[in-house]
Amino acid sequence: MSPIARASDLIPVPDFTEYQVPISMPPAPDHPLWEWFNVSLLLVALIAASYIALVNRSRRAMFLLTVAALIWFGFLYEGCICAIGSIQNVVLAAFDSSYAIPVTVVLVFLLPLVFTLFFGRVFCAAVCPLGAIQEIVAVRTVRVPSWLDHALGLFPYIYLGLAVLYAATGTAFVICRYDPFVPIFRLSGDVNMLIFGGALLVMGVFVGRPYCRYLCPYGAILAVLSKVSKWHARIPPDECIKCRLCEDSCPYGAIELPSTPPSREDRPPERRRLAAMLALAPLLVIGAAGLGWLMTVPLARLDHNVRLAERIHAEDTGQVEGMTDASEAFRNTGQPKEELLAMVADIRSRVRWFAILLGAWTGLVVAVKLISLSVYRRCDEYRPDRARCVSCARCYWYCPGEQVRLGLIDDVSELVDLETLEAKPTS
Amino acid sequence: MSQTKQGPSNDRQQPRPTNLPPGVIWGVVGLVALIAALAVFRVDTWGDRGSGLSPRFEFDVSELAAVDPALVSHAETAQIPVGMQTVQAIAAKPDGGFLVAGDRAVQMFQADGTMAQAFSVPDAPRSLAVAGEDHDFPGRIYVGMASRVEVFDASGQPIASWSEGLNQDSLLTSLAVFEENVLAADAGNRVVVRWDASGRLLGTIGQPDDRRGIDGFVIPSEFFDLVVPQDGILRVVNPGALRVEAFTLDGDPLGHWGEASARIEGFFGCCNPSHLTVLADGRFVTSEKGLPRIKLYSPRGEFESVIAATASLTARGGGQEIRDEHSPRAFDVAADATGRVLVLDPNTRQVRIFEPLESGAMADAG
Repeated sequence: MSPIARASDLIPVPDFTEYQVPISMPPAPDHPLWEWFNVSLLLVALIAASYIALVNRSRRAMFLLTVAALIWFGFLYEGCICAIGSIQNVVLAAFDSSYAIPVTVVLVFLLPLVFTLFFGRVFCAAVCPLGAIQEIVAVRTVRVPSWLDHALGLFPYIYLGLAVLYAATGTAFVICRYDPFVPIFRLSGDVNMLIFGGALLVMGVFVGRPYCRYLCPYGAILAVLSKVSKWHARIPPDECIKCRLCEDSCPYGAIELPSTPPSREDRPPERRRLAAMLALAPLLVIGAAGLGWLMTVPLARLDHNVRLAERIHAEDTGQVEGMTDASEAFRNTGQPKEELLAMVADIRSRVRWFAILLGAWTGLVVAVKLISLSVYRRCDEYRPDRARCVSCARCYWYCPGEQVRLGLIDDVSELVDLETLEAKPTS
Repeated sequence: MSQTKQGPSNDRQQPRPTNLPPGVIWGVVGLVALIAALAVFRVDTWGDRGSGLSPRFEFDVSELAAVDPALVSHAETAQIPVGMQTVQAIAAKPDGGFLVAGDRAVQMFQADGTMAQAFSVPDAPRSLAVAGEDHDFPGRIYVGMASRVEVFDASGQPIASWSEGLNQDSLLTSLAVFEENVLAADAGNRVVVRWDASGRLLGTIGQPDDRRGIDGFVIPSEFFDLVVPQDGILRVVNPGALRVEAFTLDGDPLGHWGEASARIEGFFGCCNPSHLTVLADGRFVTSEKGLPRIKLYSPRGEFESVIAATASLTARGGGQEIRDEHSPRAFDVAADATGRVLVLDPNTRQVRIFEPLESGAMADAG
């Protein structure tokens, strides 16, 4: 017998017969003013982040705002409700008229989107607590190979599609369920989610902001909006001298390098590749939609009623032995199995259409990525990739122009040899 | 110029130095990514793996469900099937018969269990009351829907529909009639609503009021019962507080009885008793859910005996075992003028009749 087993024998089974049951009163809901206060703080933080990213250009100020956001929106506010999770509230409200969504939640969803349309991803820079905790640990980052970066960068869009599917069908709020950092903010939670969050932070030391770049569904929306933002952070305060000093300064691989137009000989094959990708796009969408249809059953399995019905069926047909807590509880209610099966058929029917749409969406995302990789985009300077740049202000310091703006040097020529630069080709 | 040394150098053309070979870094990242993925896949979303503790530490309720046979004062004497898919409420008639509400209908039974009549109601009923001889309209039937009261005459003809004092949050779970008063327990708004016999709102009872010493009702689930015995004092279950509270019909609190306890004398679980009725002699009958048990209390609220123990209320369900400690359903109770306790079994969809044991039978049983 193991020491642990012997120890458990020594522990008496608790006896509750004399326990005086306390009278529990339900906690009062938060005062509405509290929610409005937090929305106001979100607004103030967004304004501050926009000002710092575009006007003040101080990495130190941005870092302080990041820490403040992490403390308030993360550890004190416990990460809920956040803009990322609010996607699901908004989607559920759109599809379920009986679901009432508070105005404050709508604002939490909309405000970062509006700011992104004007100033780029300043929400990601220093307001989002999930981004903030990763920003702080990103101290020894390495460059992710381009092929891997592009491939992993598709996941946020697919995750967004999944989150919409499950929210629209009322199945689950998967973004919240698998939020890696909320258990850390609350210092409590499922041990596996704590491991997940901790692992992301360890990865974040070497791969900057892994959740933001390769998982965050809200970041996917912001990336699209940021591409068309009215203003956006720039690396040089004025003209880029292409000194290459900022080239490796971004831990998130979000700096676009000056590009060289394809040679006359290269243009025909590049055009053919683009044509092929354009032709492939509808096939990808249709094929992936079909794949989504085929995935209906496994996708519906996230619904607890579907899982319960499958478990009950497996138990009744002798495929498994014993009962789970859920199947035992169901049997104890006396509810006919047929009612459960009818409910599951209805759930699967609803999920089927969303699964087809999810498949089509996934195909579209892949197609757009392939097309975008086939298109030559002219770039004359070192500039932030608007979709990926989180406006963290890390790159500013590397720009000689910024040194001049700060008055640390009188002219960029004090830092770089302009004549040599003229002769040196860009990478 | 010294400041220039603080600036970046154009010698740095390589990725940030990490002091670690790239192979080691990517190995660590890959390993950690694998751990992260495994952790996500190991999240037990549906609780399939249980608590992981030894069965020794399971919460065994069998001890709590056990009842000393010497405490049992009643025996089951009849079971009357109700032809409904779901049964919600039961009420005794002054003539010895009883009514059952469920599905979208009310069925009227004679004292011997023969169904005399049935009539349909416009929505799913949740509560039921029959006016006695002291009411302005003896024999009237009041049926509580979620947020209105439908009024029928003794033959089941609709007379009126009341909703004054109710709103979209209302959830009527119990009705009682005393003299000209009709009272409804509104679980949604956590108050008792009082009308006169014409449906005119007379007021509400039980709203938190520091000045009158009313803390309010704690109602975690859709069980909130009330009764008005012949003494004219309203008794309302405060289920979250695990007690029965007494009020005048004007809403003044008079006290409470009932103890939160796992012992047989007390009320156990999140919110009990789920149902309450009164015998003709003024003693109270309580019904608890979770661990279902039906008990008898004196008019002052002192525990007297057990009418139906957990064991006699479970293990039925037409061949399928039903362990009601997991069931969200509860047993509504009513008492007729002869002292019979009528128990509406939601699992077997029967009215089960319990009658007092013969004198001395309790001692023999012990």
